[in-house]
Amino acid sequence: MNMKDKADFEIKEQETIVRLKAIQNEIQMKDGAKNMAKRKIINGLDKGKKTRKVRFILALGTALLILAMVMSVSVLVFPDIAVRYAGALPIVKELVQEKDDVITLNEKICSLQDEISEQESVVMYLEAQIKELEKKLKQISDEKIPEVITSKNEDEMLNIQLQSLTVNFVKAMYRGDFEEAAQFCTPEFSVTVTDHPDRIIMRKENAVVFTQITNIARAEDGTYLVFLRLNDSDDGEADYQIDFEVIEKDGKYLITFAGMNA
Amino acid sequence: MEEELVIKSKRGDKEAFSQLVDGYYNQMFLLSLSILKNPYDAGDACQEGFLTAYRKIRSLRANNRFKSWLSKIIWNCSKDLYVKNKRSPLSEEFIDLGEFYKEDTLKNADVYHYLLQLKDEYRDVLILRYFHDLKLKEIARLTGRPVGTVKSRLRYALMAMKGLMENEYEG
Repeated sequence: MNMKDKADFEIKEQETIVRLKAIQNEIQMKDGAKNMAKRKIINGLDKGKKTRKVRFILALGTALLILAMVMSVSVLVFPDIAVRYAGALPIVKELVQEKDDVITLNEKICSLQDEISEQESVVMYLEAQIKELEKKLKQISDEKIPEVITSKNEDEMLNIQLQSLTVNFVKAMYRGDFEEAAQFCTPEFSVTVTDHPDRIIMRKENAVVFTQITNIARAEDGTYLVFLRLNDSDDGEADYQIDFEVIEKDGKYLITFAGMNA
Repeated sequence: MEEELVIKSKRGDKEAFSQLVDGYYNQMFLLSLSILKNPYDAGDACQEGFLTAYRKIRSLRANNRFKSWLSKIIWNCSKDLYVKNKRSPLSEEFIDLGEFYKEDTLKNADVYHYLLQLKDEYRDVLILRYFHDLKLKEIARLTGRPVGTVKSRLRYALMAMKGLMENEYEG
């Protein structure tokens, strides 16, 4: 793309954005339709308000009840109050003893807490170590690629099947065999692959190296996500990531989206 | 002005909230319609969304971000209804906007129809970014996709949209 084409492209893109932004203010609902919808909402607000009032009264009642309970047992709970008003009673002496025990227990708890926080830092260190170990080298479609575990509970057979699919797709793209790459995709996405391969991959002449792959994760809508990191530069510094989305269609797994993670 | 209405609504001022409904209903209906492709469902989702917004408005921290905040609520209500109903859209390619919208404001409705023709994931990012001014991070959070994916989808979506518009002019 030369400078002029690039400038034209950017101008047209800006025009598209301007027109898109304009729609929401241009298109106006008919007053009748809007007023009816608005009335329904405003009527609904009253219902919500009544519910909130009821909730507030219930919460206030509960708070008052708790306060009354706290006040009635406080003389028994706090020995200092009892000593001041009825120091000679045996039950008060017992309460004082209980208080001393509680203080001793508190001290023990404090020292235990110190130990726990020490243990926690050890656990954090170990967790970091485990995370490193989770990046294991994995054989995927004739390539040894470090795998990062980002999600759990997915079938390992399916995991390797989908990872291989993405790796084979990238290899085909780098070979320049877009027809073969398109076969790994849904019919809709295969059009992008054959007609605009540069939108998916910044293909250079160098050999591609796979530097990292995630295990598959399943999105709420059932789409599988795989993130694959590549490197194709001479100096090995230009790592970039391709985000894949894979769906199951008629028992076959097909790529429905692949895009550079900018 | 809008921030004042938001503050008053937080204090339970129904009239102030009704003015916010007045100001944003149109845009929110378009957002919902583009997801559900069914004006009746879009009306239901908007109603649910505005009521939720009224109930939760005290949780909105930045009063000047009301529109983005409301968009997210309407978006979630529309997506929930879409999953719940699984109802077929009235028409896959064309929605008769004339039934709900003023005819004289539909001169550029073709752009909206092109938008509806895009794949869901492309249409979603365009609407969230350019109708509702959401940041890429917010879109990523809402759609459950990484920011990088959102960026590339936005790029493809603009290309696809541009292509549809150019074809129309040439045709």
